[in-house]
Amino acid sequence: MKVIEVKNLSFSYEPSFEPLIKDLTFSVEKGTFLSIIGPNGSGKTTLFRLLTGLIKPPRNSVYIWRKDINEYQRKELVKYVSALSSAELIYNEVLKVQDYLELARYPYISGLESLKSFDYSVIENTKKITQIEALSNKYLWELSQGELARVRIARVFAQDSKIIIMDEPTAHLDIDHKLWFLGTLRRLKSNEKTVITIVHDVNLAYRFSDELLVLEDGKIVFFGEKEKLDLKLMEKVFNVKIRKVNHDLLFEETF
Amino acid sequence: MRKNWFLWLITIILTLVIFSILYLTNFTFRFPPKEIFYIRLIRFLVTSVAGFTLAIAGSTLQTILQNPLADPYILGISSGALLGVALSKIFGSQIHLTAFLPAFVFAMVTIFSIYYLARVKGTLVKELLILGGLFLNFFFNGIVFYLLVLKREVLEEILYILWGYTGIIVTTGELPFLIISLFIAFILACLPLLKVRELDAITLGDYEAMSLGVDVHKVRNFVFFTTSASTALVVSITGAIGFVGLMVPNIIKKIIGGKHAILIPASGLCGALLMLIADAISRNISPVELPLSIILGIFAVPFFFWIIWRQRNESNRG
Repeated sequence: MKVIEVKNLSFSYEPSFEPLIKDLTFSVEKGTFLSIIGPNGSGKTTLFRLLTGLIKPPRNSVYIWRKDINEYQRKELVKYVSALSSAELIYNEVLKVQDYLELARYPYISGLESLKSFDYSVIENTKKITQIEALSNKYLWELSQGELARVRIARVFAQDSKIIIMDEPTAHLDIDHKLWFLGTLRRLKSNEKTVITIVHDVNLAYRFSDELLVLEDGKIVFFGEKEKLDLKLMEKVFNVKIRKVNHDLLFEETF
Repeated sequence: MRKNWFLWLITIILTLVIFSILYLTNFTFRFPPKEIFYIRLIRFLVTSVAGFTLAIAGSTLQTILQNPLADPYILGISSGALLGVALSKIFGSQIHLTAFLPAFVFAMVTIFSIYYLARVKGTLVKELLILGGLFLNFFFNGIVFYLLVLKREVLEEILYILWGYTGIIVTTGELPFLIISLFIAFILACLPLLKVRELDAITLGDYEAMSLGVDVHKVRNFVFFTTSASTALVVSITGAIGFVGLMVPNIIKKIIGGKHAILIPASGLCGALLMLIADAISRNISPVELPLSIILGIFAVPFFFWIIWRQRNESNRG
């Protein structure tokens, strides 16, 4: 089943500007782990915002679960798509980690209703998985960048959406948490979750995902299973020399 | 300290009750004759509801605009409403409810124009927000001043309208309108309590709040509506009163915490308390009754430096 369908998507922030996203068409099957890679300025983050509805795409260009993304109420959409943007949280004195995770369950309750015991058990569970139990009672501003990254990942897990779309989720993580996290994402597949990540680290993307989407200058230059990836094309896009060693890619500068 | 918010709330309520008794008896603990008490009671109601409303308007605007300096007065909402009041005073009748409609329209226009003025490429620029408010303030106050100068007989009244005054004289015919206006302002001020979870999420920034399932645009429009409507009602009764909405929520955030389920009611109650204190000073200290913004402005100066200092420390830390 196609959980995300993108049809002839073009976008620019101002109508007079040259589009940042140019006529993209692709679809994502249920249970896929897709990584979007591309050099700086290729439109990755803009694509992330369009796929998650943080920016409204043009009508009839992005479909989530066979329905135009613009037709969802925000609260409804979050049950399908969980978005983790790379934008760092502003300095926040208001919320504690526990409050933040409770907000993640907000789409599942109505109005001023309070959380149910099921919601609390979900939160406890995600805290265990992401190893942040000790941080529960800390304010968000007290956390280090790495702790904050883990707390935000816990938020995504607590939302329990069908599709998870993330922009640079591993940016502030230590290497052990990075590997653990990508491994966890792979395990989510068995729960029929669909995962889309935007990753800077091409090698990590290559190692952990099933499919790759390579963007260059707002256009798709490659989309498909990673085994079919043409390394010559990658060398051109990223302006490096690439060698394949076992299952990893090795990069060498060209200048 | 922040954990005991319940104790804090009780403390605030008790202080408010004690001060209300002091205010009503004018610090003598003896209730005056019926007629005087009646006038004082009306003044008490006007003052406390105005403080309650403006402080809550400040607290919600600060969240929605992500700016600790936001407040109906600084952003020009109050002076926009004032222009509406002045227009209806010049061209219309003296009844409060007729002044409310133009006041509300101008207040709404102000808040939306400020918001779109300060939005550059999808992000709110803090400085533009405050600067825009400053210029709109000058602009609206200029027009109000001009309109009222044209009508010489209200010249003395101008000062009190521009700077806020709660000792208004009400005829028995107007009294029901006044009570209804105050009641509606109170209800409008309380409405954001229905959106405490959404407001909490918005403190994380727009994108994060949207990722949590909050329709940020809807909540923003809702807050713009409740604040401009309640501010317009208050302004049409008392004139423009500044600095309550600026000071109170920031102090509450610091000592009790910023979660809106407590921030909103605590701000409202403390706002009422602060206004009663300011009005008591206005009545008792100087030989002439002073407009409230003047007294509150004197309180606000050291407070303003405190915020600037705190922000500088934050950016050092970040």
